[in-house]
Amino acid sequence: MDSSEQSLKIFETLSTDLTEIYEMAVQREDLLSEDFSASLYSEIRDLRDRYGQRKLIGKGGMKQVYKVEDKTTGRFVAMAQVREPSDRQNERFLREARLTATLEHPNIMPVYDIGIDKDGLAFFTMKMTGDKNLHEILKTRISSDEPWPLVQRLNLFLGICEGLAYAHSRHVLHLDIKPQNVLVGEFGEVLICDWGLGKILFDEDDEDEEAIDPSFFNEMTIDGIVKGTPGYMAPEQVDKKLGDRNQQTDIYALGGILYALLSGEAPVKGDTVEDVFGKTTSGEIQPLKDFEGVSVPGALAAVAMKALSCNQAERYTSVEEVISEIESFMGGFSTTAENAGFLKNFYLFVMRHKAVSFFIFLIAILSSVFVFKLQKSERQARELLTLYEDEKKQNEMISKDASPHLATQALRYLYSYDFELSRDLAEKAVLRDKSNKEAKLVKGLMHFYTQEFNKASRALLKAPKSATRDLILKLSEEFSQYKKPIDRLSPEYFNKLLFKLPTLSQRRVLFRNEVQNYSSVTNHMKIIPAMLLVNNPHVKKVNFSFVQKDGKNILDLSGNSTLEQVGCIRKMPLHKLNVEGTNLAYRETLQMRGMPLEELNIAGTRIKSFSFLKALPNLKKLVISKGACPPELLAELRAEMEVIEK
Amino acid sequence: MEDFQTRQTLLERIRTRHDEESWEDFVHYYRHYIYIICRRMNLPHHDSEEVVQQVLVKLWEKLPEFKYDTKRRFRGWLCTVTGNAVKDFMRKQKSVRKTHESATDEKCPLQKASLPDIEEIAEKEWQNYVASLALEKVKKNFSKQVFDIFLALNEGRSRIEVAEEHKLPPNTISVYKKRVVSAMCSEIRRLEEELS
Repeated sequence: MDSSEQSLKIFETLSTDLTEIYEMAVQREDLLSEDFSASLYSEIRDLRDRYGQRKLIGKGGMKQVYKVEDKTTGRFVAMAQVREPSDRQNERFLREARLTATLEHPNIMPVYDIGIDKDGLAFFTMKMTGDKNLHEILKTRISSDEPWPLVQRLNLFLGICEGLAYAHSRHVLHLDIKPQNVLVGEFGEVLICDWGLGKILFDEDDEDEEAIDPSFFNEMTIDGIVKGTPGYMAPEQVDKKLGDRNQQTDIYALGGILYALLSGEAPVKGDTVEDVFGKTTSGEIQPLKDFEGVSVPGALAAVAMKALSCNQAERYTSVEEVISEIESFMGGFSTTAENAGFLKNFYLFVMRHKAVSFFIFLIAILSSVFVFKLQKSERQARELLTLYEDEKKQNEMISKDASPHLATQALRYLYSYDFELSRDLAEKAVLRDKSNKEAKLVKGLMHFYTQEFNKASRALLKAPKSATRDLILKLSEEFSQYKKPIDRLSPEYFNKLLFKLPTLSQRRVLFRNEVQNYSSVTNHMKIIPAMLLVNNPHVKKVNFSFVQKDGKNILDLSGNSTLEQVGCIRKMPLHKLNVEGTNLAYRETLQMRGMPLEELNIAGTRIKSFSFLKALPNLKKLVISKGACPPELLAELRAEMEVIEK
Repeated sequence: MEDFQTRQTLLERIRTRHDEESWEDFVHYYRHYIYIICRRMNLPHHDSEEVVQQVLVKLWEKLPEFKYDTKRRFRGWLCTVTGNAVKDFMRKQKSVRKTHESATDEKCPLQKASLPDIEEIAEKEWQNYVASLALEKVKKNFSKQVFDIFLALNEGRSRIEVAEEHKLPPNTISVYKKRVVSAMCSEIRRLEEELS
């Protein structure tokens, strides 16, 4: 092929527009998963016929059913069509279709579409079920070796009942309930179909907008000829004289279905139609217990037979009643049809609650045994309860996580001389987490500074090793022997201990605890010189004199020219204080506040201000350096006390 | 064709190298395109062939000078050159029939179109052309039935209709079409890479 011919050929193939595909290629649309090719829009728009080729799948009395593809929805549906094209048939058929379409219930065959085809034949479409009808199922399941569980059969039956109950609530009677008109799906779903004989009950009340117009349907379903299927037909359908066709007519058929589900056979059988009719009107039905090899629960047999009563008045009044009977049976209660007595009910109760009944029995036995031991148990129980409650109280405190925090707090309060709080916190810290070794250390320190050396030793032994821990443990063990457990150290040993502590803060803690707990001022005063040395590290020796005279405490620190701090005498109940010639600054007058001082000598000190005197209401005699006090103030002071200038 | 796999595009090679080989490649693809433009201007087959030759000669001379911004611009330019050649051709032919004249003057969109429109048309023709090259290429990979189904669907016939005709389920029809389109798309992308 030369290029000229090729050009021509290419040009000719261009008659179709391929630009769309080019666009797709460039935009890479073909790589997306979208199925562009099935352009549904154009497909549905261009549809000429909604339904495709028909395939006959069944024939009924007046209609035939095909399987067809519904091209709009893309699924296969069952299409029912009148067999004989006549106006009357068409009309009847369409009424059935409309009637069915008004019933929307999961157990009633849904109608999808109603129409007239090209040949003028009425049709309607409905759900295409690959399902078998109940008649076929009964034939196979009942005769097969594999058992058909009763629960499955009853659920199936309940499905039919529900659909029918709904129809009755819409004032529609089916009037041809039989296994052939019940489709059963793969998963046990049940559909009532073929409402061709359906009838609208005229009922004046309860007419809502969806209610079906009786005038529209009624006449046509009465053809004058017998309608229904022999074997499931109620007596009144055979002989009109026996009564009207009403809900009870459907209930009779329901009874027939239940009968068939239990026995595998129709309730009324016969060789000829006449035979069947005769048996129907006379109520000649083989009792269910007479079936060989079939075990039928008496309660269910009673329900079926009641529904199959010849006399309408003896049947159930509504489908709901039938439903509640079946549900009662399934729930293990007796049915009303059974006329059950107390024993039967008790038996059913036990069977319903097998597990519970067993335990009730067991408990009854056991309690009669234990009731004898009860009194003895009671005392033990009470003891246990007390223990439990104590433990519960402790548990409320116990929270491991808080332990380290509590320990830290305990240490902080210890070094700010709040020994009570520190003790409380340290004990809690240990209690909440017995494995917290830091808490043990804190507790040990607390006991040490409060001079509980034995407790301190025990706690510190469990504390992690460290220089401080080892020293304090050693001191605790050493000094525990110098006093009885509940006593405090004597001033001598206290002073010794004081100097064995390496740091000022440790000494202060020990001293502060002593200050809060001294037994007598005299004894306490014995440790003041040591503490003064502690407070004034540069001082090697302290001139110290304390005497009690006439109930007055007299302290003389005079002559200690390098003494600067006297914090250790704070809050001492001193009446006379002599700090003449010391190096005290005004700041140290703080320690004097609150003392019951009557005489004070501050001559030769650095105290050049006198406002602190207001805090010493009992002061009668004051000794100051000459010229230390301005004349005006001096005059003022002299109005209140004796002032001596040295 | 192997040498098309080189990084340099066809049009770049033509412009920079201006060698015989590149030219042959260029002609191989573009002569049909030029031909199509001529036919679109209602020129008969043989006249179109003649014009194609003239345009190709002109291109051989001018291509190295042409500085195209985009391939689209190039096709627009090619289209204009071709259009002018067609008009020249007709003018030279003293025996131009009236039908031709009226056709070229009135019916052909290329004659009166402004530059952007020409580019638009040129692009449309190009797309169709490349797609049909791709179609021709992938044809051998499919059975006649599959290909026929694709053509039928592309002509606008409904899926259901085609399905009935071939006695196949509609879903199968969709799958067939998708396969052809998919093959075409990758071929189109390959061609685009080669020819630009």
